[in-house]
Amino acid sequence: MSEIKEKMNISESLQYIFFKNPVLVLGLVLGQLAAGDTTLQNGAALSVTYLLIVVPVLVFASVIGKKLPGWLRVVSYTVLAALMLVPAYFICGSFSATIFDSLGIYPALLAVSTVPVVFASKIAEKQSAGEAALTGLCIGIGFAVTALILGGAREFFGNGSLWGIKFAEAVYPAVKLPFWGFILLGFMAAGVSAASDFFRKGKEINKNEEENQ
Amino acid sequence: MTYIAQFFSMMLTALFIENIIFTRAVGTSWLFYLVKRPKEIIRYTLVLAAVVTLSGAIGYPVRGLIHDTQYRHVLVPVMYIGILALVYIVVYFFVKKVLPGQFEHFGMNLGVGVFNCAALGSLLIPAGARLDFISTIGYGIGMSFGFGFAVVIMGYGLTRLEYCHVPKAFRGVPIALIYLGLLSLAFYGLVGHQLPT
Repeated sequence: MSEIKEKMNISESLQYIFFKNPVLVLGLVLGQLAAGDTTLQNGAALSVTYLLIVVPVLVFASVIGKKLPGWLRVVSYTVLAALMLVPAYFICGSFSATIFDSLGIYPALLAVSTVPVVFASKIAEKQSAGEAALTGLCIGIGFAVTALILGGAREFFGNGSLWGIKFAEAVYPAVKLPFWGFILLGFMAAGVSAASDFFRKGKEINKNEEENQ
Repeated sequence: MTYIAQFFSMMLTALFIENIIFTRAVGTSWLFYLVKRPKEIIRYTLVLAAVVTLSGAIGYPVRGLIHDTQYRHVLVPVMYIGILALVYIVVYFFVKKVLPGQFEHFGMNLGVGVFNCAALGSLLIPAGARLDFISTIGYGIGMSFGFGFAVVIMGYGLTRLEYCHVPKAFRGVPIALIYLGLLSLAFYGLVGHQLPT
């Protein structure tokens, strides 16, 4: 019984990579990507920062959260998330010294995004440490996939380069502005929604065929 | 008189020209949360304005000490999150003791009201621009009301969209994002910007 429950929890956590993508399906952390994620490097830096925030905060919430009084929980999660900006700053600085300059306020805003503030109390506190770590990892990977695709596309069309290596003239520099970020995210979200429907229908057809046989 | 003019000019700038949602894209997820709860908009906007004003006033003298350090990108947000935590604790116990009726409705969601991107963004943007005290407070209040204004506009538009025939794949988050993008583009043009070529 516990094995089945464990498998269900793992498959639920894995859903955060695609079918419950935190950005494109749940609509979280949108602003940071729309405005800050204008190059592949920015996308990578935001992804590293988000992973470094989400995993420890969810594990902390799972292990210690229930032992804290209600009023202290959200405070401790957010302060821990803010402190995780320190290692993120040094790790991201190793692949580009000025990356936090170009990202402005957006990495810091990840510390008060929905996952550390709301998910930690609503979901992670009910999970074991391992489940919370897996959930955090999957949320982080889901975010990273979106950030890297969006950042890559905007750098390609906006600068004519990828990871700073220029190989063409900029096609459309306006693509780096926030409104384009929202529009591109909207189309990506529609793609995920259509793909989810397609997979769901495929599963239903397979199920019906099995039942008929 | 000069201070009052400075205060209102910064407030209006933050409200319309540099709107927190349409220009800065800060607090978008929280906007989608509030759009579904129209009765909460005024209350949350006032809480946001109060929290930003209080935290901005507390943080102003401290930020000068760390703003020129090499690690300002980390130290300034950590400081402001610490101040938000302090403000949260004070407001939590104040509402619990003095306004127990309000606490039942609001106390449980106070964490979301204080710790959100709109609040931290409204503190970090004036700090990054090194605005003086009056401008910091005016800008913070303008950003908070600008957030409320954006929620109202988005809510109205999304309600209208519910009556339109939207392709299945675009229903929900996708069409809301595209609508937000178009509104953001409209604001970009409205304040006199031209698209880069």
